[in-house]
Amino acid sequence: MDVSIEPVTEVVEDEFSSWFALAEPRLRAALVAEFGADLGRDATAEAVAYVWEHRDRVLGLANATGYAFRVGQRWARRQRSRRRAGFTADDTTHSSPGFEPALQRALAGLSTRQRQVVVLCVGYGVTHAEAAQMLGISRSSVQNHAERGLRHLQNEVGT
Amino acid sequence: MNALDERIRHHIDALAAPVTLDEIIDPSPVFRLDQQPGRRRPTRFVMSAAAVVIAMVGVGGIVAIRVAQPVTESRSDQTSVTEVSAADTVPGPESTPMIEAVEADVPVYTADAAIQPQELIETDTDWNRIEHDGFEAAIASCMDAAGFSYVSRPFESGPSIPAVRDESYRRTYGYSVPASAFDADAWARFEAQLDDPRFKTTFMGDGDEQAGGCQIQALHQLYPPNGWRVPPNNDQFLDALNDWYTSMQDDPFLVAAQQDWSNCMTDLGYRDTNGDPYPAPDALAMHILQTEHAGQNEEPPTPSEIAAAVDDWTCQRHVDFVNRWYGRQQELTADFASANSDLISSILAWQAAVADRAQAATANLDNP
Repeated sequence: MDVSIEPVTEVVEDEFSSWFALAEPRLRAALVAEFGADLGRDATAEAVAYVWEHRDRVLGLANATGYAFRVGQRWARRQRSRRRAGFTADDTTHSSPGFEPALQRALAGLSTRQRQVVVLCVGYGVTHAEAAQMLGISRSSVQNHAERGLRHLQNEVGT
Repeated sequence: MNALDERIRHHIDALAAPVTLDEIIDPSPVFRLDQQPGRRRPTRFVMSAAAVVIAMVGVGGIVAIRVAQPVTESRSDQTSVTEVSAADTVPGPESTPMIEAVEADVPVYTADAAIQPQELIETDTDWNRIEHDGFEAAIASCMDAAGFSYVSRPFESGPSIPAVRDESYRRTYGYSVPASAFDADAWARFEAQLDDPRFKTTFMGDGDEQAGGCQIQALHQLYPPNGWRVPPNNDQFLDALNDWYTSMQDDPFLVAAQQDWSNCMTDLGYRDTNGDPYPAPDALAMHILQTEHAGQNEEPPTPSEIAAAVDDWTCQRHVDFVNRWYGRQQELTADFASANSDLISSILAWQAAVADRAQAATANLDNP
């Protein structure tokens, strides 16, 4: 191995680590909101692994997180035909601190897109522009989904 | 009470714990350029068994008419169907069709949806067995009444489809179906009885379609009103199917998938006899079956056939052909199902009626 190449490698690793720290919570939030806890998390892991394997190219994309989201989405859709999965109100198997059955029911009552937008923008502080880029929809759509979803959520669980 | 944003974030974290790099990437080789980092969960690039099964549907009709013996060679150094010797590796890692497919929002293949419209009316092995037994029972009853003991044709469900459509199978049989898939002795017993001219006339008739032999009578008994073993509205279905195939030819997703596969095979040195690239996997399979074994169906597949079948499969995986090609076909088939729902329902009803009549014929033979 040519030792002189190592610094370049480390730059790539640093870039990946930086991307991962920012992108993982967003990816997981969006994918869990669409596919439910188990499949959504697995899809996040698959998407991250894919970006790692193709980091030289993917991290150079303008919208690497949006790209990773679609990788995870595609993977999860394939798996869904073999696994019963989705964001359901009766998912009461979680007993970790922070899990709220009422919030689960309220989130399950949203459309998939509303849920993704609310979780990303309200829960994780992602801007409407960033959510639009990641989900591949327009900013005005994000605005609409956020407003409707938030209104529904506030009615269900309060603030 | 926490603010809603905190509650949502904590709730999602409680639902699904954060993904860590440790569970994705093997730590030991991560920072070395001369090794690819390992992964503990390499599921994404491993084609599912179901995808493998479906992948060769296009040449299924071809292999079904082919009889051959296995060969032991796994690979030749040069193939007779190529102008350039085939390499052992596919094009380099800079070609990443997965990335292009994701960016193009290519449809996703799912194992449990019909790929082609024919599957919407396709009968399963159980139905085929009932239909076969009923038809043969109807013939046997007729022949028995004429004083003959009838030996039925053997039932053949074909070789195991998964066996035909995986890489190890291709390494053994190429595009062929092994002779062991057919019960040659049973067919010999059936054909031997036709050597008796009186038996043959009773069985097949004397050329008079209306007053024909027991076989014609059985056809009219099981498949009214015209005695054909296809639904009465089969022509209508075929017309719709023809339109479906026509629409496929211009579909950009399918065209791109074929082109990528063709480019990959071209890179491996495959050309047809005019020096042109093969446009699709089916075209390569057809070419090989027509040129390498023409008129020699009992011959085993040659090493070059094995090599081509394996290279074809390698390229299909390399360009994500299964997902792109069959995912899009499934979308088009869903459109077909919506547009022709009445026609499909009527064909399925006809099949159910045939099964009822076949079971009655079998019961009648068992309990005369």
